[in-house]
Amino acid sequence: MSIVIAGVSKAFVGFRALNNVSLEVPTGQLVALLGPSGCGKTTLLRIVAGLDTQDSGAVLFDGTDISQVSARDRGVGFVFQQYALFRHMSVFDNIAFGLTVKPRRERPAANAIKQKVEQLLELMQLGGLGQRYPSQLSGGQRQRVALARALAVDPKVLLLDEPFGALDARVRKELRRWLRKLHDELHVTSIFVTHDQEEALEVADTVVVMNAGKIEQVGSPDDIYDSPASPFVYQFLGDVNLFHTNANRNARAERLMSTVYARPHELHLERVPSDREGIETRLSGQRRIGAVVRLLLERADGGGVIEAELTHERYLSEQWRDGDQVWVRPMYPRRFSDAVH
Amino acid sequence: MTRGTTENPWVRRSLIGVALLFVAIMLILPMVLVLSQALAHGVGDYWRALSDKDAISALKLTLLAAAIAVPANIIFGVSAAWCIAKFEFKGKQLLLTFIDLPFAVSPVISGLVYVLLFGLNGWCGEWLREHDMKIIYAVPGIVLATIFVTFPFVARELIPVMQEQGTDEEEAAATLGANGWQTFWRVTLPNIKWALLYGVILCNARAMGEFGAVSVVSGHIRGMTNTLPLHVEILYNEYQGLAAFAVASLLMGLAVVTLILKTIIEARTARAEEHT
Repeated sequence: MSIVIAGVSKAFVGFRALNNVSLEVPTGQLVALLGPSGCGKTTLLRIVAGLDTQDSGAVLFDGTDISQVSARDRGVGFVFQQYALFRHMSVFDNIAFGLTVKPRRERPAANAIKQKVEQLLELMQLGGLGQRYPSQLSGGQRQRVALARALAVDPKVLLLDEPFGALDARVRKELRRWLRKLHDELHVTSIFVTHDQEEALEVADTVVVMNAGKIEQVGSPDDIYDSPASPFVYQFLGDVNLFHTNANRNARAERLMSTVYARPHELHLERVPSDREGIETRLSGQRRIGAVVRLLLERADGGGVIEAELTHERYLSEQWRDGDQVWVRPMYPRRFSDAVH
Repeated sequence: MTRGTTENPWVRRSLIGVALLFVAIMLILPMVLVLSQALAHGVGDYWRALSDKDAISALKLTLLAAAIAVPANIIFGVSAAWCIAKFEFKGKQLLLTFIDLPFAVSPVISGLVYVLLFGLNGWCGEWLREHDMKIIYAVPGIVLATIFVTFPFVARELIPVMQEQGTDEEEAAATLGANGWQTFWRVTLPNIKWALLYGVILCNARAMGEFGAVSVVSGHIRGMTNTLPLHVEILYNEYQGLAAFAVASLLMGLAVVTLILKTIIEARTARAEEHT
């Protein structure tokens, strides 16, 4: 099922959560809504689910306006950030819930429900846990129960609100890959909300970057990372160094009054000045983080500190010491006109 | 334990001693007295006092008032708690304040309000007389007064529990296709059942024990509009000490049962919380 969000706006008391947002999600895609907290991504997801109502605009499923359809008739599966499992029900009853509340004539027979739940338990790698209660499960297991419960009713659309937000880093990574695999098997149109750019880039077919109630950019993970449409997107996707051109000796750029953006691992670091324009700096601090080493480079012109990243291997072979003189040149400088801000 | 929180053992012992002594004099002694007075002339007289026609009629009226007031306040309390905890609306704080009104107002005043409203010379008095209906000095008045004074118990017990649980589970039920009724019975009610039961027990205890408000609207017609607490007072005023204490022991029995149920529910709730 395809989803179209057409000009949706929503305001809460004294606060505009969504400002004329439009988005198309083709059938079978896995889309990430990425943005900082408070950017409106969860509100958008809840409006698609029917849990919140937009002030204006429309939501269309397969071309049909479903704005007036209640959450329970939309046929969406929703996975909540805090799982929202029914705490007094066993895992089995949680997953079966959506089937057992169907009107009598649509409700599957008891053994058909049992079969379906067993099948989902298997698919979610929860075999043997059917009689446990949510409180007896780990975070990752709870999340999978929540997913199984949402999938039990064969939703046409799957919506996930920060699905891995409450899990520790290792489980997060594991579940992330597993979600991608699951989506490749089921092909149900899915939208998930996240504030973690790594998660969005790794899992999604399409990433939608949001900020302050608006969509900043829509594109494939490569597009978003390689050609960010705005300084916000650039900064949100990773660490960044800003080079203001008035501190730079590049005369042509100065006239444009632009800011150059460069990621810490995308800098040429040279120990002797080359004929190309480089920024003179002095190494003022270093910190190793696993496989990479982060260098703090104090600009000689007083323009602040530049952060650079090296592989640990290169760091060792080149023998960096505090106080070393370094000339810095961005490999892929990106310019955004200052007028944008 | 650190030095700062340890007290001299003598200080500790005397504090505990004072507390126990206070409880013994103020709470336990009266209960023992009631029971010993009631049984002073043997079980036979005790039983005769209880099976007196007026005492039985008072017991029946008390049970009737509670049987109407408690369900009424369950329905009201659950709906009020539901809308306060699960929805945002204007006037929510005002509603909360009004729910607490019966706690703030003296029960005698609330009884008087009903007399002013429904009494012969009250606002609706004439209309009621024309339609041959009696509220004050009759059973409906007693039921109304009982509902009024027990109004906050269920709602007050449920609101914090429901607020703490939030709306996630209800929203999950909705996206899974459950209608409002199914959501209430299968998701909300099981989550609040212990708090609800607790509220119901407190509500029931107050409904059966209420004196002030009921006293104003009852008119003390023996065998007709007397509840147990009122009957105790009448008997005592007529120097029928034995009968008064016998009837009082019934109310005391109710209190003991309430306390036992309350303890059981508190233990259950604590266990349920450990689970989540």
